[in-house]
Amino acid sequence: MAPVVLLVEDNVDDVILIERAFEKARIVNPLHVAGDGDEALDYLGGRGKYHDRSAYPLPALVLLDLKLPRRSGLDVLTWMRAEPCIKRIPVVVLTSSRENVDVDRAYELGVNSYLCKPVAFNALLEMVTTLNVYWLLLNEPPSIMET
Amino acid sequence: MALIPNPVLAETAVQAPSERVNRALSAARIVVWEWDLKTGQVLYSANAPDVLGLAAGPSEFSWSGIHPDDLANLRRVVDGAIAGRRDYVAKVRFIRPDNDALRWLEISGNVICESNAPKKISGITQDITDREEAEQAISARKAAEYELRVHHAELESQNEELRLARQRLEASQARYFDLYDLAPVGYLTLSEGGLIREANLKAASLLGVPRSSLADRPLSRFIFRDDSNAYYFLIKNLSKIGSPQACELRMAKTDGAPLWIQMDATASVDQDGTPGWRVVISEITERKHAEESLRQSEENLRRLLDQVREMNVGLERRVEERTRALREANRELEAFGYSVSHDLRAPLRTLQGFSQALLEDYPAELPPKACKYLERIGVAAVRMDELIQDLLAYSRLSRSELRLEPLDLFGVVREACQQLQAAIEESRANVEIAPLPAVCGHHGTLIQIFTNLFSNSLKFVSPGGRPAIRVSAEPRGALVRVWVADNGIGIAPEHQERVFEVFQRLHGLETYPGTGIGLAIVRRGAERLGGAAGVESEPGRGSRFWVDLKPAEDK
Repeated sequence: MAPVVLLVEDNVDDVILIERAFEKARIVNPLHVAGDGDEALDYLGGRGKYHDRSAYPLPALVLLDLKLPRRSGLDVLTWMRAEPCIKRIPVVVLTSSRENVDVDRAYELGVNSYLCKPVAFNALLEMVTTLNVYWLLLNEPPSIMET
Repeated sequence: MALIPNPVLAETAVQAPSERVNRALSAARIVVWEWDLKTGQVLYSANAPDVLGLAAGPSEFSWSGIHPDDLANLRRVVDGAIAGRRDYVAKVRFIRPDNDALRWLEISGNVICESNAPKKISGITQDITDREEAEQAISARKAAEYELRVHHAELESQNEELRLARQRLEASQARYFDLYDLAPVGYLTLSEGGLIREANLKAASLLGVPRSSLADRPLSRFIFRDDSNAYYFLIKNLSKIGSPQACELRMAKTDGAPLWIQMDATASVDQDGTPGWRVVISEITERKHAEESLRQSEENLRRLLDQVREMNVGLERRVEERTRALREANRELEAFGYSVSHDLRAPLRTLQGFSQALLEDYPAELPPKACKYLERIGVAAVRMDELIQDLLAYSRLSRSELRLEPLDLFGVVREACQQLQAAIEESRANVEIAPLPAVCGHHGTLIQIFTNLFSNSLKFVSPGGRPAIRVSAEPRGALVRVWVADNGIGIAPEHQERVFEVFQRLHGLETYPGTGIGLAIVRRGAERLGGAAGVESEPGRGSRFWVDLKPAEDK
């Protein structure tokens, strides 16, 4: 089974559109969605309803929105980069913000890529397609087995 | 005294004169003698022992007894008389053989001849010591008198000199008195107790009293009450230290009016040895007034300065407050921009995404009109997104700090062209870039400026036209002017400034789509780089946009 992609996104509309783009791009990797930062930490940390790693395995890629209720995307990133194993997981920021501060801050915290969600769906589809090709097919993933 | 020998006496002396004659001869201290030149025998009268201390009677002639200093002279006289058969008189000093007393003698001789040959000399010798001494005394007195006269004359002349000196002294004293009285400062002579002994006219006029009334009054009476300490301090120092003292104090005139005075005091000793003080008083009221007004204006100045300083502090505080408020506003603006870029775009994505999903997923169920409407919704959403993106870019340009660095302008312009490669190819545009100098700028901002200018030139061409763009540069004063010339539709002069304002559009969306922000970004960007931007154009004859930039060496 193809490795999981974790989408951290609070906007249901965006979730639907990204899922649609995944579908249209024929991406075989299952897409798990965390609705906010806390849930993302629960999933990645295997806590609460995500304690079963076989049902909720560690993702091969995290798509991270920055503007989230409660814990922000940058907070999630900070937490991830401090975790022993999880810090190796590639993180791609997928957000509407193009503010320089956000971009620079995200790279400082160790993000692997920074993408802006386009308004036109076709552009989003193109972006997701490229994501798949690069991060899920071409890219050599780190080992993220938990010890 | 008769020089001619008295034959009677001579006879008498040799031939034993009478008792009476003898007494008279002795009284006159006269010895009578006779010298026989042939025998060399000499015969003295009987009174010879008494008068001359010589033996009476005949004896061998001798020169002994004659003072050695007079002997030679006497012998010459006697020899001369004998040879000339003349009489002679000589005055000699004689030392008496009996008592060694020095006597003055007058010897008179009468040469007697026999057959024309000198035979003997008869004569008298008189002791004239008393007379001689008297004469000497007289001549001494005469000399003394003469000296006295000379001395007197000298005294007279000295006296005259003294008189002249006194006259001069008196004149000079008069002059000094004038100087003293008419001096521009007051002079006072005080007793050691501080009583006024003397004062010049100026001192009296300063104190407003007649000079006569100053005598024997204490000077302290004229010191202004509040300043009496200064006066006593001066006097105390003068007595204690002895060196001249000075102070400034107020004196009171008799009418009570205060008078600013510079007082200089020295200790002095009078001719009679009485110690006292000399005091000079000069009026410094005007100086004091000047000093006072100077002090006041200094005070005013200081107050003004304090006010200015206070105002400055207030101003600084206000500037600080304003700066804080501005910073706050800026932060709010940033937060606003942040939420605009996040939150305003999300609904647009939903609008566009779902209208497209409908079109894709239900093509059979939707009537053609509905499809057209859905398309319009999607296009509007994309357009609004462009608007938001441009606005954000414009506001970011105003807010963010730009660090200027030397840049290869040619490289930057070529990079901007590459970003627009698709549009350039699509419109089959011809872009020509002349050599460009290095400039001092900010890479991102310059890219934005030139992509916007190029998009503008590519867009505003007459329908079916093929855009041609030429980029060149020339020096413009201290700056570099970069030209972007096109062959587009041009801009009428009345619109040439408007096009650089936000949301200013000259054409309908259907003809020339756009946000109306592109050229505003160009101008703002150029300004942020220390330059400017503008356009020269004529409708139908293309536009020449220019951007002034700092040359690289001008960093």
